[in-house]
Amino acid sequence: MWITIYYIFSYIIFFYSIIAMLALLYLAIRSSIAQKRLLIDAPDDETIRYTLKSSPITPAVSIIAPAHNEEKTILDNVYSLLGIYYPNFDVIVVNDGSTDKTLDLLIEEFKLKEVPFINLKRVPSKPIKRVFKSEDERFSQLTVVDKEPGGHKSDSTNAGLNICMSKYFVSTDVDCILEPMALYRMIWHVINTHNPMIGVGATMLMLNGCVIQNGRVVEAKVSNNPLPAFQQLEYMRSFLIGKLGWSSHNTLPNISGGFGLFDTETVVKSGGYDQVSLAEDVDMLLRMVTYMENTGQKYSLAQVPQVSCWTEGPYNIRLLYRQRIRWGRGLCEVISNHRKLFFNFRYGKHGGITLPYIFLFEFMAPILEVSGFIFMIWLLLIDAVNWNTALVIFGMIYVFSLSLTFLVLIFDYATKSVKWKSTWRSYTKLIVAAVFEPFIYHPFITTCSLIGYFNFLRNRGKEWKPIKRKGAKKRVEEGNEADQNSQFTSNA
Amino acid sequence: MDSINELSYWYNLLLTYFVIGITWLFEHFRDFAWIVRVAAISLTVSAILIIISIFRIISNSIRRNKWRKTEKKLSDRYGEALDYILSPESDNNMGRDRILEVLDIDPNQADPRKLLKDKREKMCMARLIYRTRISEEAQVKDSRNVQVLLRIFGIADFLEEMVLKDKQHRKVEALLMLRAFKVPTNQWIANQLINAKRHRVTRMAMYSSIMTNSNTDLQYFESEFFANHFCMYDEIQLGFVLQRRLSARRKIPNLAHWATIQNDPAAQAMFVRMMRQFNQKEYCFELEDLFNHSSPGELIEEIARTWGYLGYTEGEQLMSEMLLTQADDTKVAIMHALTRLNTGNSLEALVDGYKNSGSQHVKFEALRCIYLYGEKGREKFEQLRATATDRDSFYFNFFENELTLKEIPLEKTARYHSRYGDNLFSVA
Repeated sequence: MWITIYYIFSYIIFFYSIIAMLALLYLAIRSSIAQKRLLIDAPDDETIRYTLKSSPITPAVSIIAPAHNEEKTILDNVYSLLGIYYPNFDVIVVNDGSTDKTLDLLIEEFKLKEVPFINLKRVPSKPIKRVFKSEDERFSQLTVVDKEPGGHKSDSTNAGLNICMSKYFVSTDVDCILEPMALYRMIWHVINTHNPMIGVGATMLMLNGCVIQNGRVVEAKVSNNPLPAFQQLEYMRSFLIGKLGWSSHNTLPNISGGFGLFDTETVVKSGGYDQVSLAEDVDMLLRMVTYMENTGQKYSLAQVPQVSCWTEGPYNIRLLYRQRIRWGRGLCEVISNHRKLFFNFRYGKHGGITLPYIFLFEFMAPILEVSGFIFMIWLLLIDAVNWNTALVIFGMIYVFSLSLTFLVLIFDYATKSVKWKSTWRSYTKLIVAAVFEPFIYHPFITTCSLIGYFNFLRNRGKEWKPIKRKGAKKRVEEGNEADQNSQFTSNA
Repeated sequence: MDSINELSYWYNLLLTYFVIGITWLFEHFRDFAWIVRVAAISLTVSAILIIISIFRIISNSIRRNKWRKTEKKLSDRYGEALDYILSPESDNNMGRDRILEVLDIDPNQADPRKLLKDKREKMCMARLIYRTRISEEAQVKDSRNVQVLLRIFGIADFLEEMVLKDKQHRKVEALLMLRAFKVPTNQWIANQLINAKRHRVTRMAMYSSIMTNSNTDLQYFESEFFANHFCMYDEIQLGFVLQRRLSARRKIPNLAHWATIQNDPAAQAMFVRMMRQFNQKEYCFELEDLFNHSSPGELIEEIARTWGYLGYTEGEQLMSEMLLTQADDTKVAIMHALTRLNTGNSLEALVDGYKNSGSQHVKFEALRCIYLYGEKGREKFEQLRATATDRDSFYFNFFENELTLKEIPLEKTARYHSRYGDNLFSVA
């Protein structure tokens, strides 16, 4: 019987690996096709700006940025949000009961004054205590909402939605630095689609190691700290292969919580963000898809390949561990809450293809990997390893993962998604990270995911613990203040 | 060897090596389990993928470097001169000799073939002129200097050739440039691209043709392609087309009729918005059939907004009757329209809107409209303030706060609200 189990398990692992590799290869091909299409469909930044800034119908966008104890980075990041190029936008910073100086700093820096407000109560959120607007004309687009702590980012985003009046809104974190052209690039997809665009995602990368000036990334670099470098690689693979590939089928599985543009009405009608979900971004997208499919409406989803947002990733093991456990638990929540969508073609390609993929190759992967590892140890103990076969299979998987990294670098180079300070130095760091990733980083995050699954089963780890920020390197030069002031005089 | 034969030679060579490689792998691992054979082949394919990727990155990098150098060379040589020639401060008809002088080109040497050697230089030059043309400083003027520049460098012919022969994305780029340079696009060229695989190519060909040939400028909006693939980009372009007609003192068609013949409510709403933008009050009555309970809220809102903006008082009765039965956003749009009409007959409808709504947003907007509804409105507003319950009194705080009044323009409630809003509603 043990021999039968041995064979069955070996074959499962082998076929699983082959299918996962084929799926990734397919996504890479689709991503390449999507990039070629985007060369036709999306012109250069100057043309997009030229077309949209002079049009009176450019849609309004509200940027909703929840903040909780962000005193180290809040001012830089709000400046970054206010300095974005777009003719018709406003920024709603939601202070989720910060216990540090976040709100005080905002009030002082932007000359905020309390104003009466209307809480539209379209989606559930903890009560809003106060709303502030700036007395300074330069910051007239800024609204700061002070609310009771909700404990989750989604609760703050919902509070922002209850204040937001624009047709579209961007969900971001206040610790994110946005590229100035980010909104233009996203809205371009909205205005060029026949079916209503309900969500647009954009590529996000690690801020760690980069240099910022006046709230903008002026030098894009891969961090010397290996942890952010591993994450950089992971993000690039996820955005440039995974999400771009899925978007070519209009089946984007997730629009990142760090930066995504949504149709306000669709989000409201879908019930807003789940206030307690740890994977609120995936959950929101699935709610929207469910709503659109249930009401028989056509919709579009898109992904922008250029880097539009920089976020500070966990810079030490403890923070990364916490973040990945939360993601693992969040994935379980999504699968549990939306189980009726899985393997269900009534919910379109999302139900029939994307979600089964997530279940099989994202949820199941850590379980199979760890059980495979334990199985290997058992084989070692009983001296039953066929080394030739094992090495060839290991080589296959390892070389395939390396080849994916090279593909990502090609995509990055082709789409000019990042303006690296030194492309070759950055690529070298990423290749070195890719060489070691399967031995160091991957086992770690796999373990974290499994712990997250266990937490879900034991109903633990529900609380959202935000990551402590160090803040990126800042370059301070003479005339900074003048630059910063002139930055807000014309956002178009 | 011509290029097709060369390509076929390399293709066959690679295919041969690939087949030899796979056969060798099968032979080499003949005695192994099939799992090993599959794994070995996957490993080899992945390794090949890595090698190809490395070559691809290197070749891309070399190519991009060449382009960058060419761009820099041309920018250094002509950049400042182009800025000057296309600047709004310069004479918009400088003439060929003066332009050559500014460009520091000897008139005897001004042969396009000598000035720009190859395709790369021509493309870089075209991009340089295009970027200067669309930059904030230059786009305000209809400069004839662009045409002269294009002739000096032989770029118009080059771009037309690109539209016909190049890759799809280059075609789109060339069409964009031709349009920005106002070079009339041959109808025949546009027809070639009407059935292109990507909608964007078709759309750009259509627009390039209609923006440069005024006789056929509305054809696209009557086409099947438009009806089936309409998007917001079309609305932006329709605005430009109609604006151009207006500038040339040509007739603007009956947009209300176009709205009624569309099937897509989004396209209908677009034409209604355009009516507002182009002051077509005389056709407002044609929208009455569309303004009914079965139309989507978005369309009703646009019609109400248009009637209000254009002062179509005949529609007031209809709007007042439908006010209370609509969704919140639509209610707000209708109340704005009634306030804008300001005939004195709708004050009660607005008060009903205030009293009968459960939504804070609608209540506030209703109160705001009452406040703006002339003297009678102001009196009513004060009466309501005096009798307001504690729960409702907070709405009145907005009218005492200067910041709130400045920061919440009524037009913000519109689904596609305009930036060039509506000064009437600026209370501050």
